[in-house]
Amino acid sequence: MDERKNITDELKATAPLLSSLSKKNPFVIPEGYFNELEESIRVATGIEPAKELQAKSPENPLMVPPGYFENLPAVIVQKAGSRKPGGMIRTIKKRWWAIAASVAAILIISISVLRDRPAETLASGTPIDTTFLLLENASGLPDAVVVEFYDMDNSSSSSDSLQHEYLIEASGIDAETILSL
Amino acid sequence: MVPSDEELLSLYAQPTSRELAFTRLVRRDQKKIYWFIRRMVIDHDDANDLVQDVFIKVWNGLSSFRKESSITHWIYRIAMNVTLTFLERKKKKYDTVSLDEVSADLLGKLHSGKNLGADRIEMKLQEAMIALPPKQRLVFQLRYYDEMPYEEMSAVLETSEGALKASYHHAVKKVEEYLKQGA
Repeated sequence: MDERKNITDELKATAPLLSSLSKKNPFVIPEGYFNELEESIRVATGIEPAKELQAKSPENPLMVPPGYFENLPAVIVQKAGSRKPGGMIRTIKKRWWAIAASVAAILIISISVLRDRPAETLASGTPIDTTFLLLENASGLPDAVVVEFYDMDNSSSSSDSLQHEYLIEASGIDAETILSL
Repeated sequence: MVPSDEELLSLYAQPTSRELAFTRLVRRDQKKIYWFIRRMVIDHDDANDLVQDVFIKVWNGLSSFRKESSITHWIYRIAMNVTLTFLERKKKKYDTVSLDEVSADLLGKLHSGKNLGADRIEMKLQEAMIALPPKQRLVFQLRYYDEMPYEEMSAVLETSEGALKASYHHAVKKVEEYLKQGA
C-alpha cells in the first residue's frame, strides 16, 4: 500500500498528466483465453490434465475438476432459475422415511415380545431363540409354529439344529437366510 | 487461495505432486506474465507464443531454482529475457541497428484495431511506451503497471536501484512529453 502511494506521489510530482490517467488495461484478449493458455502450457510441457485430479495434497485429498468452483455459482444460479417456486427443498427422501418407520416398528415389536416372554426363555438367550425372534418379527410366523416352538424341549431331547430345521420348514425361508439374520 | 512459494516448492519436491505444483504456479502467475509480455510486444498472438515459451522454460528449470529470489521474480526475469530476445530478432529481421522499424511494426499492430479497445489518451500512452528503448520500457512497466518496489525490480532486472530510479525518471518524463503533444 505504501509502495503504491510512493509511486503515485512520484508520478504526481514529475508527470501530472500521466498520473491523472487510469491504469486500466487497454488491450483486448480472446474470451476464455487464460483457461486455454493453461491447457496449451500443459500440452507443451507434456503434463496430462488427469494428473491434477490424481494428485493429492495433504490438506485436501479430494480434488475437483479444473474450473469447477469458477463455474459453480453460474450453475447454481441457472439451476435455481429453472426450478418451480415452492417445494424445492427436500432434505430427506420419502423412501428413507419408509425405511426408518419399518426399522422403528420392528424394534418396538421386538421389545414388546421380549418383555412378554417368560423369564426363563429370556434368560436362556440361546442363538436359536434369537433366530426365532428375528424370524417372527421379519416374516410373521403363524401362531401354530410359535406355540410348537415354545413346546419343544430345549434342555434335553431337542438340540439347536433340530429347532433350526423346524424353523426352516415352518417359515419357508432357506437356511442361509436364517443364519444370516 | 493463492499458493505461496513455500507451498508450491513443497509440492514440487514430491515426485507425485510435481505436475500439480507446476499447474498451480501457472494458474497463479500466468496473467501477470502475460500482461507484462503483451505490453512489450502488443500483439496477442506473439504474447501467447512467448508466455508459453516462458512457462516451458520454467517447467524445465524449476528443479534447479535456487530460491535466491521469489519464484515470480525468477519468472519475470525469464519473461524479460524471452521478450528482449524476441524484439532483438525483430530488429535483425529488419536488418537495422535502429529500433525505429521495430517500433513502427509495434505501432502498426497497435493501430490494427484488433489489439486495443482503448480511448485516444490510452492509445497515446501505448504509443509513448513503444517509443521508449526496450529496457527502459521494461523498467517503466514494472513500476507504473506492476507497481513493483525498486528493490524487487533490482532483483528482476539485475540492475542497481539507483540506475533503475534514473531510468524510470527518464521514461516518465518522455511519456509525459509525448502525452502533452497535441493534448
